[in-house]
Amino acid sequence: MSDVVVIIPAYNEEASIGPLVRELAAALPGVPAVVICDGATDGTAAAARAAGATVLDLPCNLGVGGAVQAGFQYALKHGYAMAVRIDGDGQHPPAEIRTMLDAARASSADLVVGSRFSSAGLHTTVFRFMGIKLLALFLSLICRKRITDPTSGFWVVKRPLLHYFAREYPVDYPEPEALALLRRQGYDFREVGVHFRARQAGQSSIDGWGTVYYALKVGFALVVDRVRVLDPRLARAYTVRWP
Amino acid sequence: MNAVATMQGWVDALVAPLGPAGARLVFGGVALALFLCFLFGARARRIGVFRGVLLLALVALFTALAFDLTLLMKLNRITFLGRIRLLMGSLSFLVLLVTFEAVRRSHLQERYALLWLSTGIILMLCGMFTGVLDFFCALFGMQYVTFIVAVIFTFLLLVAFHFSIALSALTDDRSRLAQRCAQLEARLEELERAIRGKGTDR
Repeated sequence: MSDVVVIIPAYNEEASIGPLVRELAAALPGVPAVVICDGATDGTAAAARAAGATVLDLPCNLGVGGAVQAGFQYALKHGYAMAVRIDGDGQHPPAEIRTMLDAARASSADLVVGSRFSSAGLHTTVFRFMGIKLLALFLSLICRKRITDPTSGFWVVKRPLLHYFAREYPVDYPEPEALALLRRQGYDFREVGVHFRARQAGQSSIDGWGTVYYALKVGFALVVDRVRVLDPRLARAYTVRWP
Repeated sequence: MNAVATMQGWVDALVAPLGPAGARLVFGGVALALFLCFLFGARARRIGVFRGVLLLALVALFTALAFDLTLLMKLNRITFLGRIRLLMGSLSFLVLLVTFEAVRRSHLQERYALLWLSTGIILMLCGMFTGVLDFFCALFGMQYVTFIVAVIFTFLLLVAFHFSIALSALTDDRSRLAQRCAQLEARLEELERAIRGKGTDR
């Protein structure tokens, strides 16, 4: 029985979710895949079930934050020691998961982030690259730790942090905010350089006006997160002792 | 009646029996007492951001009165426009403060806070740069104050519309949740019946 589960938030990824789940089963035999279908309007849930994944079919669209949190809750409730979180569009190659898991087992960090910039090649536009770099600089200052790819959704989350994220997780564009919050709660993370692929199908949720909203929302949220009222019972000192 | 003159009347009435030195002492004492309240309250974490800011503003007012008993008379000389700008400034500051505090306590999500924040920032800009606004006032044929009211009204309308949209989305979500819930219940009953049926067979 595997102590690792792969959680995949997907919104209208009918075309890419089936091949991804099959690729996952080939790359990591015996590791269960859980697809969180975030109120999709196409056949995402059916395609994932047909490929052999467990499906959490959300009745309404919660956004990526709520969907991923549902995955963390599943992993926590079913007693997994680690949850791998990858995107449903095929950006995060299943072949790289083993690298991330090895890094997670070797390190004492509660979270391993797969970074597309720290060693491997990048797949992004110049404009977005500059935005990510600026965000990375700001976040590195806040976390007092070097971060190269703050928007990466390629994560391995260990159990103490699952306790925290299952109860409190940011909405909308959660990754940079989650990094800042977990540092304030005493958790630690480390980055591992991995290769990303270009998205296999579908549309990015961040383009056009979305970029402006993204910058405003994440910028404001990161400032507030410095002084946000946090639940001290979800700090690492407590959750590390929980089963 | 002029409100500032009325307030100066109260101050004068207090000064008359005490004399200027006594009145200064009283104002200084009140300021000191309020400041000590603030210090102890903040140390013991008994007062939040709101009461803290309010207390500090009162401390500043009473300290200024202790130094200059005719302060309110001087305030009276501020022009009509100046007073409106002061009001706009404090109003926008209040909007920003309330919004920030609500987000900090996780009572308000960022996506709803952004419109309130932009309202506060626009109000603050209106108070700070009257020159730019003169252009718009001339363009639309409005007085400064009318224009400010128009700006506030527009933003309140935007916020209200945003809420209507959010409410519609919530209504949709709620009916979807209820439908899923009912279907799960039906499925559960079906399974229960099947199990019970098996039980009696044996």
